[in-house]
Amino acid sequence: MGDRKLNVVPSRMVLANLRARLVAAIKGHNLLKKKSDALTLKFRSMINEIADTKEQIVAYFKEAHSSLMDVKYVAGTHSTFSIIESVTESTTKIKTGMENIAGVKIPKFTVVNEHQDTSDLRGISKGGQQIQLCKHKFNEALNLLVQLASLQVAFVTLDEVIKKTNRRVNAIEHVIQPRIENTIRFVIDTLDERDREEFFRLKKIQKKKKEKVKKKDREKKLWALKLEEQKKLLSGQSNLNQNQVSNQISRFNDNNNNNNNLIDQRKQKEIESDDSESDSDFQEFDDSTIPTILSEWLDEDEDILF
Amino acid sequence: MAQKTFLPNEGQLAAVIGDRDTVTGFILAGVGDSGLKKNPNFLIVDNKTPQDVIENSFHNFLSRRDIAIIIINQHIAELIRHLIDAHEDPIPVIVEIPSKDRPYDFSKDYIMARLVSMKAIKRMD
Repeated sequence: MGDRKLNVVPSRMVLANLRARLVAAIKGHNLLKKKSDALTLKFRSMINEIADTKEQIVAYFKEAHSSLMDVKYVAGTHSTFSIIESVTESTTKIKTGMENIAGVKIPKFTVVNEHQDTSDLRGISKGGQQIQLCKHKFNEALNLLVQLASLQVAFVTLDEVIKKTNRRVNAIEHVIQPRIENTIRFVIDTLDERDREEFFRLKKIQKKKKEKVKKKDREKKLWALKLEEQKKLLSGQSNLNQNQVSNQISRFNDNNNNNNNLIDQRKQKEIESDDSESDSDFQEFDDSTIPTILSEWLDEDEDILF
Repeated sequence: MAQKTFLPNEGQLAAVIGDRDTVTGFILAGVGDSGLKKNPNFLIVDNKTPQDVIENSFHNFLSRRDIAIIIINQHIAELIRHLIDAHEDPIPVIVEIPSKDRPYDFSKDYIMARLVSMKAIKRMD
């Protein structure tokens, strides 16, 4: 159960939402735990109270019954029939109020006596005092009984609410919280992975772009060399001294370590490795190898080259 | 078990199911109500009262909205124990009381039984 995660799309916003949810879950957990503790405290004190009241009631009823025996003795055994027959409307009613224990609403009963001593018992001519005493005893017993009823109802309600609260506390602690944590971990992992991928991709693009720039540079230089040669040849035919040109060319060739051969090789290589990545045996051109004379030339022919 | 909603109420009744003496005593205390349609809030049970009469009247008291507490003698509660155990709503409350000629057995009271089991659990931890 705890290993499960929520079904979410990993993104920054979802991560923020999940973090907020985790904070809320922890807060709710603490609050519920506090509530459960408060209720349990009340519940424990109630257990003893109920047991005490029960015992008290037994004693009270013993007294009440013995006083009823007195009534029977004085007024005759058949007086009970008259009493039962005389019932019209109850004078003792029960008021249901509300008690609030840590946010749990619990009914609370109280006895309400309306016009207590007006009930006249027809058919019973004697034993008024005994009857009054018996009435009093049973009234007391009833009061206690109603008190007990309040406790019982609170007991049952609290028991249920405590169980429910504890279930919730456990659910948050053992299911919801781990699930959110797992999801957060998952989202973070996924985002990190994506970051790394992105970084790698950018690096790759940068590399390719650099290669392209280099290739263009190379081509530019090759062009320049060729143009220079041609120009020199042309100028040598027309007005310049043949020796001078050949000297210059030989010097240039010396500098470049048989550049002409290299040019052909490289051209082929470039065609081959146009799209491939490896460029390990690539040799950089040295800028100093290009005669400075040609720099002007290069500038003029830039449009053609690019 | 859907909790029955209860509202603060001024004049609810207590119903009594018991032997003649117990009922007489509570009527003296002013609990008795004959009701408008011959529907009293008490039932006198003796040895000859059939089981289904007790059960019917118990059901009747449970369904009545004006009854908040049902007072019942323990020896009668024993007869309809299955109904008392099945009742889970907080209201009406069922209170078991001792009768005149039978001693009160705490272990039979449904609330006391739960208390005892809970105390036992408490002692264990």
